[in-house]
Amino acid sequence: MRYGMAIDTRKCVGCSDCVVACQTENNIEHGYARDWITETVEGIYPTMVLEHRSERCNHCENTPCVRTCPTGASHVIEGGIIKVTKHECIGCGACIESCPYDARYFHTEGWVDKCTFCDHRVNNGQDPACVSVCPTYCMYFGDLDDKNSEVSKIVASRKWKVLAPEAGTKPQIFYLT
Amino acid sequence: MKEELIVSGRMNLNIDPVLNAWHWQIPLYLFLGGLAAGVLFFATLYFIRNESEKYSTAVKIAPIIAPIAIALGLVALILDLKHKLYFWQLYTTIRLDSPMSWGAWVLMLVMPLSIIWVATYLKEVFPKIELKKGFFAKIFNIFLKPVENNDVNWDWKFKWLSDFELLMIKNRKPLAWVLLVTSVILGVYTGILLSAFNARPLWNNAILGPLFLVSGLSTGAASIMWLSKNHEEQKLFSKIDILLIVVELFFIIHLFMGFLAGPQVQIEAANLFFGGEFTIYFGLFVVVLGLIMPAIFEIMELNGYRIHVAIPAILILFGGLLFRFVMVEAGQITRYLY
Amino acid sequence: MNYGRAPMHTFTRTINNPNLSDLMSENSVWVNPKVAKEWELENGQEVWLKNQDGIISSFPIKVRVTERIRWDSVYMVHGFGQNDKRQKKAYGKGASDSELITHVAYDPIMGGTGMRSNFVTFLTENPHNNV
Repeated sequence: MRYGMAIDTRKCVGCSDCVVACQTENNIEHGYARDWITETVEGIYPTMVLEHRSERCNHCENTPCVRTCPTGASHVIEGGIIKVTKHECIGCGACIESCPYDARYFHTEGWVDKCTFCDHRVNNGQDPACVSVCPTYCMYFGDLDDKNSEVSKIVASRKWKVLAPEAGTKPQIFYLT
Repeated sequence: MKEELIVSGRMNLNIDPVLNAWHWQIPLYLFLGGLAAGVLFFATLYFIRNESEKYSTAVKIAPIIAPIAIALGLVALILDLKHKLYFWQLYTTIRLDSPMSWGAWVLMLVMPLSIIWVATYLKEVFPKIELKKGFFAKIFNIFLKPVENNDVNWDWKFKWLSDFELLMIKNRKPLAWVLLVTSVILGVYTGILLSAFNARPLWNNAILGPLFLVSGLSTGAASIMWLSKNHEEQKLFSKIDILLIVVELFFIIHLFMGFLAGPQVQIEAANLFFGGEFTIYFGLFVVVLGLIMPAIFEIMELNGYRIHVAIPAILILFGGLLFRFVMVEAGQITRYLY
Repeated sequence: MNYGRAPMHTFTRTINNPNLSDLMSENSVWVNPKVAKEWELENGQEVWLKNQDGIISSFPIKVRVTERIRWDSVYMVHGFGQNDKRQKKAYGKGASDSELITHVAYDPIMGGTGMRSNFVTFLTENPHNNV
């Protein structure tokens, strides 16, 4: 079992519905967000490439944040989802420094918060909140180990890229190009 | 033109626009840890070489800095934690992968050992302690008592403390060995703490550990030199400092050679120091004022010019402190994406 | 001057919503790099816009230098620059495009309107200081 996500950058319009869905689903404090939209523009008018990406924790296979955590608060649960245990976190910031995607932040209570792939929904067989609200259906979520899952099929059939592969983290979110 | 921006969503405090999760506490702590490691390293080294009478400042007096520096460093560390009440979670696990866990446990070892080291020499260094009046007398009275004696006017208040002191004085040699090893681990750890973060290209290289160790040793040697009244001892640590500064400069050159031969993100990291916003801080204050100038002063002093010993010592300490501030600040700016 | 919409906002009422205002709290005027170089504009610099009839925007707007816009036009998202203080989150954020639309072209046959027929210039100094 290895949860992964594929995001179609050709379909994504950058509407930020996923951001608001996450904020409301997980009761994120006002002014914080676990996911965000990045826009890249390359080229010179009129020949240019625009890409919108919905970014979040990549739930990497090789996890610098879990490795550098001094207390074991950052840990990997079943399916490769990386979570933080609130009452074990000391708020040292080591995992924030070690994340190439800057996907973690200090909750105002002091512990470190991050995307959980909505494990409370996923364990009930639902999609994460961001995936389920996407109006252009550009996000796919599922088990990468299962050859017949929707996400495995689309990752196998389309061209994709991952973010900062040179950081050696083996991200589990694939951006279809 | 390539434009890359976060359109919406992420405006998390201390993350955007550049990562700023670590403020002044971490570099201050790294400096104090390095200083303590340096002082303890030389103290135990010259004890093991049976030169504790010849270099009495290094072995007996200067180690007093170590527990004070570590205590201040720990205060800074606690201030840095955002979830402070849970700091004890550090001591519930040993995680060999995490340098911070190593550091927590090493500090746990070094702190009491360095206090013991200082305490066994307390009667020699401070034979007279004012226990009658004054602010500190109240604190000392908790565990010290006045005695009538010609040489030493105080003793431990409890018998088990005296017994423990005798035991430790007998076993100074193993204590010195343990402290020597742990002080090296502490010195290296201050650098490894940063270099374990592969997300920050400026930090993620193997040379940072030795570099911080050498820098810590040189600040330790500088403070011993400053404290020492013995001319011969000053001269020795002056020479040691020059050697360490040369090694440190060598490491810094290697560091940037490695960056410039590296991938794009590391070249960008190096460019922060070559024409970027840290050029003046690093080039002028750290390298010239903190390394080259004190080396020149010390060479001049060794050749007979009269220069007050405090000048190179202060410059080295200042350079070491600023070096860590620059490394921590600049490292957080470097990143893989955007 | 062109105007349009961003996916998360429809008009001022959505800008006043706390969640949506977090996503995008003010609009920016998109300027081609060539124009920006000519006017010496930088990313994030605040400018006031003045149209061909001399109407000046009530609030400053930030410049976004981007290749996404042609050099003969600028673009901004509609709905910002609310001048009613009762809309607390939206008040004074960005500039209003409708303020600057003073020239409207009508289709003589079916009455459709063409409002992208205005021209603006940049004012880098605050024009409202003297008032």
